[in-house]
Amino acid sequence: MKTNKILILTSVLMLFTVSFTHAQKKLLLKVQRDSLSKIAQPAAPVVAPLNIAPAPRVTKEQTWTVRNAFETADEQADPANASFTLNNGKANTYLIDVGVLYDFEWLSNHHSGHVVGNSIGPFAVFSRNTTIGKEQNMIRGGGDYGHSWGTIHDGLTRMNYINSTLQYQRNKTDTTHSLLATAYYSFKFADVTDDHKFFVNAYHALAKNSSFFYNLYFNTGLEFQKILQAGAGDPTGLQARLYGNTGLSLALFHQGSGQVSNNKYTWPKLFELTVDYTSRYAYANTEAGQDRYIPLFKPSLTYYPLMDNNLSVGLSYNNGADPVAGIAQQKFWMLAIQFQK
Amino acid sequence: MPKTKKAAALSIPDQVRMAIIFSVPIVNGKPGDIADDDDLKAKYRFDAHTYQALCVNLQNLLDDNNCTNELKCSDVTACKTVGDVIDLITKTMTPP
Repeated sequence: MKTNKILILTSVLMLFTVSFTHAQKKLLLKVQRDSLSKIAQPAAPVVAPLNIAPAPRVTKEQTWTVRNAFETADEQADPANASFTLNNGKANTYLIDVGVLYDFEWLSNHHSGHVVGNSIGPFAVFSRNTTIGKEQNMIRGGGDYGHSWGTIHDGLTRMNYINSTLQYQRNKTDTTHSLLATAYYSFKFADVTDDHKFFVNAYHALAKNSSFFYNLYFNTGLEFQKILQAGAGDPTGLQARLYGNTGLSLALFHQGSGQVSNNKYTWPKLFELTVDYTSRYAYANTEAGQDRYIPLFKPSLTYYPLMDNNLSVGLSYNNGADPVAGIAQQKFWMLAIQFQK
Repeated sequence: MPKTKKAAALSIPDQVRMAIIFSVPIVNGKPGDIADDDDLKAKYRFDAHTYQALCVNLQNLLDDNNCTNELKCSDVTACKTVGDVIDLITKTMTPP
C-alpha cells in the first residue's frame, strides 16, 4: 500500500516534472523568440542603382579646306587670293595665294552639352605676289593639329580652340629655309536666348531688325621660327614670338531673291568691312638685325556677289610684315578675287 | 515620351529648325523663320564651326527624344538644305 502510494506519487511527480520541463522549454523558446525579435536585425545591404552615364557620341569625318592660311581656327577665314595684271610693254604681275588642308576630325558629344573635338591633317600653301614692292614668294607645308572644347547646348555656344602647326617654309625672296611651330588660341561665345549679350567670333546684329552685323574676333599664341639655312651673309637664328591678333568686321546682309523670312540672320552677306590688326613680339631673338616688334595693320572691304559666300572680291590695305606668310615690312594695296571652301 | 517638355512642345521638323537657329546662331529666332528649301551655306553661312555646332545640336535633339541612334557629322555636312537636314533626322529617328 505504502509502495503503491510512493509509485503513484513518483509518477505524478515525474509527470509534473515532464510537464513543467515542457512548459519551461516552451516558455524559454518564447522568451528567446521575443528577445530575438527585439534585437535590431542588421539592415539588408542597400544596392545603389547603377548610374552609369551614357557613352558620348563620337563622330569622325574627313574634310578638305581651301584658304591661304591655316594657323588660326576662328571663323574669320583667310580666303585664297588670285589676281593677274597684264602690263603693256612691261612684265606681267600676278598674285596667287592658295593653300589646301586635309583634316581628320573627331567630335565627342557628352550629352550634357560638353563637346570635345580634335583634328589633324597635312596642309600646303603657295604664295606668290609679284605686284608688290618686296615680292612675296613662299612655299610652306606641314601638319595641322586642332583641339576644341566647350559647351554647345540649347542656343548657348561657348567653345575654346587651340590650333597648332608644325611646318617647313621655303622663302625664295630672302632665300631662307625655316622650321616654324605655331600655337594659337581663340574663343567663341554666342547665346541666342539673350539678344543683349555680346557675341565673340560670331555674327550679331548691331540692333534689333538691323541689316548690319558685327563680328569681333581674336587670336593669341606663340610662334617659334628657326632659320635653318639662309643666303650668303644672311643670319640664321631662332625667333620665339608672342602673337596677338584681333579684328572687328561690320557686314551688311541683304535680302536675296525668293527670300521669305524677315529674320535678317538668314540673309547672305553682301559687303563686309574688316579692320584687322596683328602684333608679333620676338621675346627671344637670335637673328641679328631683326626687329623684335612686328605689326601688321590690314583693313579690307569685301564684296560677295553670290549667295554662296565662298567667292568674293576683296580690296585690302596692308601695312606691316607677316613672317609666317613671307611678307616683308611694306605698305601696299591689293585687289583680288577671293575663294574658299 | 520625350525627355523634356521643350522637346514635347515642338514637332520634330520644328526641333530641327530650332537646332539650326541655335547653330548659326540666330537671336530670338522662330521655326517659322526657316524655310525647308533654304540653302545652308548660302543663307546661313555654314562653315566648319557652324556645321559642328549643328551636328552637336542635332545629337542633343535625338537625346531629348530618347533616340540613341547614331548621327554622323559627315551626314550633316552633306546636307545642302534645311529640308535635307529634316529628312536626315526623320530617317535617323525612324525605327528599323
